[in-house]
Amino acid sequence: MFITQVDKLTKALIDRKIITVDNREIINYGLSTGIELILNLITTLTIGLILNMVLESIVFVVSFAYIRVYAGGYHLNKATNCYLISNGIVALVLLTVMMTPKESMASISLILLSISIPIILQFAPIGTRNKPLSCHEKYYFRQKVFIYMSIELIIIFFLLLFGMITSAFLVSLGIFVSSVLIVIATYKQSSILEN
Amino acid sequence: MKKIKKLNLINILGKCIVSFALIVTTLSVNTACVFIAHQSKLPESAKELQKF
Repeated sequence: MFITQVDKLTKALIDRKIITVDNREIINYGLSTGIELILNLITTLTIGLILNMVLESIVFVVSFAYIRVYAGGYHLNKATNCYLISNGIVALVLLTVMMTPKESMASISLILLSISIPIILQFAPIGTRNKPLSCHEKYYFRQKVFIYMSIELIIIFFLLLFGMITSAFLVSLGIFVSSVLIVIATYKQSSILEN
Repeated sequence: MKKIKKLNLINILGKCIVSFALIVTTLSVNTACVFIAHQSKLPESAKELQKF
């Protein structure tokens, strides 16, 4: 998305001698990814606003992001599809929270965690075609995944303890969605290797 | 005078944009994936920004 516009902007920055030609690729990459990130976050907040669940959307995105950035997982080939699916997931999660009875949230959270934790421990981190991971990176990211997942589990424990069940459910959903994306990426990679 | 001020403002804005782009690229290099954005191919030169 926005490749032409970003390219023009980078050219203007070079013309004004703010950056050198050598840095063009880095700035191009950072700008296009940054714009997509901002757009995604704005859309997520808008979905939250429409459903009257802004705080819930923030809790979900933060808990999902903490695992996702180090565990990796499935990515779509086109930026537009990625944008649509990402926000579709956010909407689906918020609707799930809206429709789930509060009394069953704690038990569903425990079920989701018992499915997703073994998956993450077994397969994370997982690289993509556009960002394959070296052995050193895998070791480093795996450690980070363990640390952040432990932190999130402690947070879930305290949220349940203090009766903040919806937040605990949202954090559990964040971990669960991360694990689903890891499963899809693992399946895709194994099918590519088989072919 | 006004033209100089405008040029300065454009330069400051340009530097802010560059800083933002550098932060995003550095975050991307030091993580396994961009969390809710498309993962485009990372430029080779960006590996210099890796912190581990």
